[in-house]
Amino acid sequence: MTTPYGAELTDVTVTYGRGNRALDEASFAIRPGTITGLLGRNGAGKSTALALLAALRRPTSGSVRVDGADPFENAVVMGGVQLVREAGDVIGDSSIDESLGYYSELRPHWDSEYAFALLDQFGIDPSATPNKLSRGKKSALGCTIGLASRAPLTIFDESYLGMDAPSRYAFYDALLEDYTEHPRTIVLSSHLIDEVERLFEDVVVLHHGRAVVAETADALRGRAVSLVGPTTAVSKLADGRHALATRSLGGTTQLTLEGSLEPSEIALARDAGVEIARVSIQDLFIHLTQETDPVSADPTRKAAR
Amino acid sequence: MTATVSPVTARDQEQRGFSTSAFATFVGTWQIGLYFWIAVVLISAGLTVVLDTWSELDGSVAEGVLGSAPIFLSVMGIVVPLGMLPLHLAGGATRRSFVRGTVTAAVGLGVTFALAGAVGMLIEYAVFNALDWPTVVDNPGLYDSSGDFFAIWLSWSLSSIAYFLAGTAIGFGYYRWGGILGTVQLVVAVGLVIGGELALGGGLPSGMFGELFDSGPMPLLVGVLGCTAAIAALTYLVHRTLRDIPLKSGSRAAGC
Repeated sequence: MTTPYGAELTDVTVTYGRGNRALDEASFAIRPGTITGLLGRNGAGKSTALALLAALRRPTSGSVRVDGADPFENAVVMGGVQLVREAGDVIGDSSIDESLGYYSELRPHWDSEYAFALLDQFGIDPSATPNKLSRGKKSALGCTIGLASRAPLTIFDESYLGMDAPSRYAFYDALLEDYTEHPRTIVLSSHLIDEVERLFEDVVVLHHGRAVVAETADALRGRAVSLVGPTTAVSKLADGRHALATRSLGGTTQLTLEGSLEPSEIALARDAGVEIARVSIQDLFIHLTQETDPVSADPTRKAAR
Repeated sequence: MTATVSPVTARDQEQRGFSTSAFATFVGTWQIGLYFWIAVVLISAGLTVVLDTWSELDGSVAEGVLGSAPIFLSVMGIVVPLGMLPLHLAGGATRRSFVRGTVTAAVGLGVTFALAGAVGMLIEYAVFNALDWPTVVDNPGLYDSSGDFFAIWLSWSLSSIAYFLAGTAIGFGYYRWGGILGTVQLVVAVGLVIGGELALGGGLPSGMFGELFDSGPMPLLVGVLGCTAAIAALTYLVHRTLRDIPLKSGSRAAGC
C-alpha cells in the first residue's frame, strides 16, 4: 500500500536556450490521491512541468515540491514518481522483457504479473522489441509501464495518443480500476479532452507557461452553462451576459454562457423550453486558451493558419 | 501528508539504482561484446595464417587485433550509458546511482575484457612457442611478450577502463553541452586516455606518440599510478557532466 504523493510548483520558470520560457512563474498544486488533468495547447509548458515533477530537470527559478520535498536527486521521491513520456522510456532494440525487468528492479511497487496481463490485453508480445511495434502498441507499452509501476505519483504525458479508440478506452478502464484498488495520485496530460475529462477530479490548465486554472473539475464546469432552445428564448436569457460560444441551426441556438444561472433564471429557461446543460471541459479549455491567443484574436492570421 | 519511506529505504533505493545500472551496463555491453570477440579471434587467426604464408610473421598478431578491445569499449562507453540514462531516470533512480553504476560497470568491463584479451594472448603465446614463432610485441610497455599474462591483464584493464569512461564523458559531453563545449570535453577526455596509455606504455597511442617523448617504458608503479590518475580524472569528468544533467524532452532510451 502506497501513500499518494502531492505536488506543488511555486513561481516556477524554466528557460531554454536564449531566453525561451517554457514555464513563466507557473504555480499550481496537485492534490494527493486525485486524478488531475493537465491541459494546455502545444507549447504551453505541460511536458516541462511534468519533467520537473519527475526530476528530469531543474527549474531555472522557483520551487518544485513532491511529497513535501525537492524531488531532484531525492532517491525516495524519485522512486515514487513514474513519468510516462509519450510511448514510455524503454530500450528500443532489446526485448520488452528486458525493459520491464529494468523497471521491476528499480520500482519498489512494480507488479510484474499485472504488467504482463496488460501486455496480453493490449496484444503485445513481451519478447518483441519496442522498435518493431506500431505507434499504437508503443503507446500501450508506455501505459502498461505507468500502470504497473504503482508509483505514488504516476504521470501520463500524452502517453495514449497513438492508441486506437478501443485500446484507449481499455486503458481508461484499466486506469480507473487500478486507481480504485491501489489509490495513488495520477496526472493525465492529453489533447483528447472529451475522452478523458470524465476521469478528472482536478484540472490544471497551462497557457503560455502559466497556470490559468487549477481547481476541481466540478468547479471548472461550474464556470459556464450551456443553453439549448429556441433562438429568441435563448437570446433573452443571455441578455447582458458574456457568451463564450454560439451555434445556431434553423430556429435553435446553443449558447455557452459564462457563470451559473440563478434559480429564477433556471425556472424561466424551463418555462421557455430551453434546456440547461453542463459545459464540457473541452469547451471551457478552448475558451480559456483562445481569449488571450493573438492568433485567434486576429481573423487574418487565423485564416492564414 | 508526509513521506512514508524511512531513510533506510532511501539507501535501498540508491543501492537498487546502482546495482541495476551497473548490471545492465555490464551485461548489455558483454552481449554485444561477444560478437566483437568472435570477430577478433577469427581475424587474429586468419591474419596469422596469411602472415605466416607470406613469411611476414615477426611477433604477436593478437596484440594488435585483441588490443582493439579498448577502442570497442570506448564506442560502447558512448552508446550504452547514453541509451540507459532515460530508462534509468524514468525508472525513478537518481543520476548519482547511475554514475556509480556506470563507473563500476566500466571497471568490471575493463577487467573482464582485459582478462579475455590476456587469455587470447596466452593461447597465442603457447601456439607460437610450439611452432617456434616469435612472441614479441610491437610497443613494449608493462609487457614485452604475449606470454606476460598478468602484465597484459593489468595494463589492458587500466586502459580499457579509461577508454570506456572517456567514451561516456564524450557522449554525455555532446548531449549536455552541445557541439563546441562537447568538443572541448572530447579533447580533454582523449588527452586523458593518451596520458594514461603513455604512462602504461604499449597500446595504440604509445605507438603513435611514444617517439615524441622518447622516454621508454616507465616503471610499473609509475605507469599504474599514472593511468589510475587518468581514470580518476575521467571519473570526475563523467560525474561532473552527469550529476545534474537535464533529460531532453526528445531523448529516448537506446534505439527508441
